[in-house]
Amino acid sequence: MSTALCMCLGHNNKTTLGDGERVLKRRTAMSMVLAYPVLGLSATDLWGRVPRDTVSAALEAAMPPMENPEDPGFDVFERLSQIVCLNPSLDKTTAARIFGLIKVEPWGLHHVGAVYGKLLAHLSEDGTPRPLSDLIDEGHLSDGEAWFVSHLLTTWYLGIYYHESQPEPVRVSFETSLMWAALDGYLDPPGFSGAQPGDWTAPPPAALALSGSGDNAESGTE
Amino acid sequence: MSAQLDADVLIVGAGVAGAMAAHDLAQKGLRVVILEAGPRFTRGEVLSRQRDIWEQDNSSLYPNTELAPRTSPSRPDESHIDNHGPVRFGAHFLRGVGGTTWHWQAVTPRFVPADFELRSRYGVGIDWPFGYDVLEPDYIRAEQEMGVSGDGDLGSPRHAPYPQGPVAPSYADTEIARHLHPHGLVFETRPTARNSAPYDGRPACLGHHNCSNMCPIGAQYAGIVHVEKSEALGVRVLSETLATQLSSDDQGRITGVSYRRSDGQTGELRARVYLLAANPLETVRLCLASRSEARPNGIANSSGMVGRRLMDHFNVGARFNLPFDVFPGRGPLTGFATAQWRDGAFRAKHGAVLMSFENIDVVSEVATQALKTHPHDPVALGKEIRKLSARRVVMTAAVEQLPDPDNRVWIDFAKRDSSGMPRIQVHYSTGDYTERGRDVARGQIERIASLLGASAPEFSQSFFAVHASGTMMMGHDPRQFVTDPDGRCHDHSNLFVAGGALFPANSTANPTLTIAALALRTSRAMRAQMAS
Repeated sequence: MSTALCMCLGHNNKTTLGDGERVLKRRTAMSMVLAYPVLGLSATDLWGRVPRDTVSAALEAAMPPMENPEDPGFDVFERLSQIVCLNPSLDKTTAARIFGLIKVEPWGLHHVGAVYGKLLAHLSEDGTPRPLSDLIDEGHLSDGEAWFVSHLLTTWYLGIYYHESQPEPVRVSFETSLMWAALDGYLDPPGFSGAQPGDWTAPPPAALALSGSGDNAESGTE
Repeated sequence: MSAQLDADVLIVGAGVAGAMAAHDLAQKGLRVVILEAGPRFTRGEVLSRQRDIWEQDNSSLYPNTELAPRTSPSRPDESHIDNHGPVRFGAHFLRGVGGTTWHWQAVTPRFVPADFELRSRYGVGIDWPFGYDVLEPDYIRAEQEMGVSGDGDLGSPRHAPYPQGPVAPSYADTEIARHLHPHGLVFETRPTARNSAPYDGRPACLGHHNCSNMCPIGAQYAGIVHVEKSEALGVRVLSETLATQLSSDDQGRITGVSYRRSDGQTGELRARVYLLAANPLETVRLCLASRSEARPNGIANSSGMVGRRLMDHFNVGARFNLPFDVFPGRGPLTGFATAQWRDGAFRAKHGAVLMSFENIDVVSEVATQALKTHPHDPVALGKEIRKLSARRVVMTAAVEQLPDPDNRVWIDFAKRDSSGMPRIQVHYSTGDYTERGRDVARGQIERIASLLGASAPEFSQSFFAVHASGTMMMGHDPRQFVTDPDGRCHDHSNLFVAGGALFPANSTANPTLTIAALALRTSRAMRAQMAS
């Protein structure tokens, strides 16, 4: 079995099949539902939300110092990624893969240092960084720097790095790609399932919490 | 059996047709050898690769070897098939032990009775040499072998229940069907070779929605099931062994199959009877490559019809956004379909259509789209991904095609692929009959989207050719058809053909169940011939 599959199985339930291959399973939907009241969110927030405490955590963590803007370290890149994605718990392995690819781009480290420098230059009054979309809207980033922010966001969400220095794109993550996290666990990536037969006949549990409210009320079909 | 022979039956191709026949023959005590150009692989290897590659088509997960170059939608330039004619034939099949059913959707409708009588009923196309009632016992047996689950008949009369009840439908399918039913549109479950409960030592579907890449747990049938059952009965499966030439004697009997292995070894295997069970394009290549002084047009080709009348399904794809959440992609990929355009008097004028909803997740697609709208704002981005992922649905419509001798497969001896075999050449066009059917399908999809209050459909049209058929057509007249109704070549009494290549008409049905049923029918004929 390859390293990649072993990594995958490391956080999944395991079921033995025939020749010993593993069933890929993941249980996230229920854990999200259980976490729901803890997050202090109203039901109507679900489909339109980014958890507010997650956003806050992404912005409130400490900013590592950057000694040389032309040669920023991994800690700077990781922190920058957290702010780009407004997510404080990005996968470290994926971050290392992306950083490795960016370092060989002719503009890579320069952009990391430049954008991080802009964050440091435009901190909030309480000393925390501000969302990059705000800095871009206010014109603090150049077009190239704004593009670099979108490049990072694209890579983290799709799990694919579109690489200028290589002939082909590179897969950097699969099940940890943030597009899946955006679904609040109601749908797992292809090949993963925490379901039992027939679980899919009803709306996902998270959607049940929305009954009669939220975007579904727009449909006028009920 | 003669001491000089390597087997009673030698089969070329370890896909569902070859494996199903091998199992049937071995059960009766016959010695069988299967040659397969592609390699063996495990579920673990393929699933691991799925996580590591960037391509999102279902060929790229699988090995690509010099001996069996793959057909890859992501890399059409690397294909070993050259296209001519107005429409590119995007051949898409898997070469490996177990065959293309490693990465299918396991949709197993039968043909409808009229599919067998297109000329008699509607004055178009070619009639099959026998009717639905003749094939139905083999349909029943093939469904049992594959463990087909289902409930409705989708227009094909049944005289035996499905081996299993249907896999539970998705919320998306039932909600959409509920909305459409008052408008006279009846969408129902499609039969699938996918377990709704443990069956034949395989588990029930757990909804990994990875069916068309690879089922991680084997709940979905694949040809490897009958490969392994055959091997347990003593069948020898020689992987990475490319059949390069068929030899024949003066009486027209096939005398051997030459092969080349991945390590460069070459040789010839001999049997009493031979079965060609590769993809319709590959079977044609082997026959045409087997030219000799006595048979300058190749094996089985006195009619000149080997490679002629290539058919496939024109696939109309459409996407639209519903005004309410249905959460597509939960559960298996196969959605509901309607039989309402599978048959009718309209077939005198245009192709029949099997119209379906596909229960696929569109997360990658909508994320890519949302990133263009919200390139810097993860809050807005997440909201857009959530909304579109819950509401975007995909429909497909498979349109039948009439046989046309100008749609053909041949080979070019001057051009070689990585295996050293002559490259496959294809000339392909669609024809007015199919294009009128396509237009009907588009109109109905637009109507359905409107009835659902959805956005206007975005259409894609392609010959993403996964249902190739008709290149070694069966029929009574040796001047018009390559094989007789049992799949026996008119030119060679000990050479048989299995697979979609035999189809005289391609229906709207996904072909695999009919391929399996025909393989069982042909296997029976081979046994009878050897017994006599």
